[in-house]
Amino acid sequence: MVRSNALAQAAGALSNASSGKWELDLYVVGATVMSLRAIANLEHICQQNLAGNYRIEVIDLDVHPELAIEHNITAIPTLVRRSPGPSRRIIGDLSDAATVLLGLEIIAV
Amino acid sequence: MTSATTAKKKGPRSGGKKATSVHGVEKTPTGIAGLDDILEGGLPKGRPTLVYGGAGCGKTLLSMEFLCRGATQFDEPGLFVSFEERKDDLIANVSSIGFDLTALQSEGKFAIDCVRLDDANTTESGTFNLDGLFIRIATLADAIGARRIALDTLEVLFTSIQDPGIVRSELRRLFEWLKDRGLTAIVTAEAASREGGTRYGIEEFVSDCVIFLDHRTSDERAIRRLRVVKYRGSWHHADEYPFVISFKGLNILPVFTMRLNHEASDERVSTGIDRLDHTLSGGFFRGSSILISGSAGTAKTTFAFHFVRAACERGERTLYLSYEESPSQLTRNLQSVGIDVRPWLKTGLLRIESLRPTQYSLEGHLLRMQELVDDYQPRNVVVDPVTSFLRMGSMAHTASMLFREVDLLKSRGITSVFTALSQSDENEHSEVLISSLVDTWLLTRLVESNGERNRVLFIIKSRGMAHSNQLAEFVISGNGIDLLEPYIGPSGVLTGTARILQVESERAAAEMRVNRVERARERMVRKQLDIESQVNALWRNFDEERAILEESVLEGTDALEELLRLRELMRTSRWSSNDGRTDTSG
Repeated sequence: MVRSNALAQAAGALSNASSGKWELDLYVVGATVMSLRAIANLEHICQQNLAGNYRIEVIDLDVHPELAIEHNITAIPTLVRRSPGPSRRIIGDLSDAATVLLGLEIIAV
Repeated sequence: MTSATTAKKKGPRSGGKKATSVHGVEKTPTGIAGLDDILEGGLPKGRPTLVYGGAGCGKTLLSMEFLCRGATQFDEPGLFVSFEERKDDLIANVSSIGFDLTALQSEGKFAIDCVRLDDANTTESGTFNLDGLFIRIATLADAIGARRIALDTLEVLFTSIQDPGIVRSELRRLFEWLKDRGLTAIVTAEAASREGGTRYGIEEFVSDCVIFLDHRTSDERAIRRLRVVKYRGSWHHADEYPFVISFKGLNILPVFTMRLNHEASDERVSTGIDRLDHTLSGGFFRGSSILISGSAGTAKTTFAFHFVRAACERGERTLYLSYEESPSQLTRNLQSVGIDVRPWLKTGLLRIESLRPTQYSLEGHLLRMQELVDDYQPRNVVVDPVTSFLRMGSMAHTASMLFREVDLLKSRGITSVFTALSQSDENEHSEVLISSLVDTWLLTRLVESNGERNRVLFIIKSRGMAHSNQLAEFVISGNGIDLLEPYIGPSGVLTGTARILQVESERAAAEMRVNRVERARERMVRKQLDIESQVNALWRNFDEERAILEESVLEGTDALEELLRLRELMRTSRWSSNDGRTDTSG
């Protein structure tokens, strides 16, 4: 995935496991405050709860606008759980960790 | 077909075919039949328009047709953003009104994006915006160079996003963005209730033009209506307009003569009956509408076909819409009265269309007539009988459709004849409904007297022309209809009898004539039904007086001679007193 520079920096800092069970796509538009906040929030939640067992892909729709149509993205930021199991989505800057954990079904309802 | 007719025919509609600037607002034609007439040119160019209504009101189809016609007729590519329906369903729906979305897409004139808001699997956490939606719209709009866009139904966002504050601020941003890009947009929404606004108050964001679609049921019949609620900076027609959805898309049925600007012609066209032409001072006016009413078996169709024969003999295309008889039935029956329409049918000068009244809705019939008129371009149209429509809807609904039928023909300068079946002699609501719309009203009637049933014709009204208000007997033979020399009407005989009985002087008789003329004038300004019931009453008087007269005839030949002399006097003076009089009752 190609990313803009600021995003690449932010995403590059993510400590991705090479063969994570959790595959998460984060859709953002440009390196806005909201984008960077979402990345930071997500990284923090994953480190706390999925230690070493996840992979995050940050997708900048400014660079790949066609992916917004392909993956049916409306709100920004949108986090998509691709794996495990059926797709789950969370929209927002992920500032509420509890709803993220519930939404991704990292912890049971 | 003369060039004058062509010009007149196109006149009232030409405004809808090009982008016009009325009162400074630049407009984008929709291309939807009738809509541009009502909008005085089209939707506000480069601005959003709100189209709202209840479920199934046709808002999706309207926005689709707006885009498809933009792409095919105005070289304006369009983007459809659907929030509710699936792409395949949309493509199938639009193919039912004759547009191939797949082909338009591959030609680069059309794009479609289905935004699915997957609520069940979506959680909200923190703030967000709708940049994803913006990017999608921008990407597709740029790809095809879109000039038009439809968002159907944008307000779904309100149900899928918890924070209405975010939706409102994002919608405001979206509409600003659409305006910046100069996209002519249709945004659809659900109606909160029939007379209320939209469910989520979308009109707050769209202030330029608002259109309301209504789909209601009345007497078990579905009726569709369109109303332009608001059009900032432009005059528009604010009435409710009926519309239909056919295989050609939406068809809004405006009133074609909205400004009553059709030219009144001084040209006369023959009724097909010499003596009737004479009585009407030359015939019907070209482009006028004529009603022939009467009870069953009073030769209304035969009268209509005399008009048709005269028209065909002049070489004018004539369209005959028959709601009771098939073309072959008509052809056969007409031969018995010496009218052979087969040669004209063969050359195409005459076209007979037999339609079942129940075949279409009232709007459907009007639409069919419009199609036939557009297709065949007749100079004369006969509708036989127009009363077929009467039980197809409420009185107001039927009246509105009949009005549009008369209006459609008048706006094209077509001379039209409508026949109407009277249900009963006393109660002629149906005729009254139609009669106010027409220029000339002829009434045929069977009159029983002396063991005979005779047919008589009244000219009840004839706008703008001098005419005799006397009834005339007519006969039908193998040579068609012939009006007999007008004979003295019931009041004439009455006077004559009174004269015999009282043996008054010449001067007194002249006074009575003056009185009688005055009474006739008074009668003319009364309601048309009053005239008829009076005539009926007079006929009964006549029969009584005739009985008295016949008694008195037996009393001596002197008296008879006196009667005959007076009768002759009456006849000459009656007709001369009618000369040059213009009926103003219409």
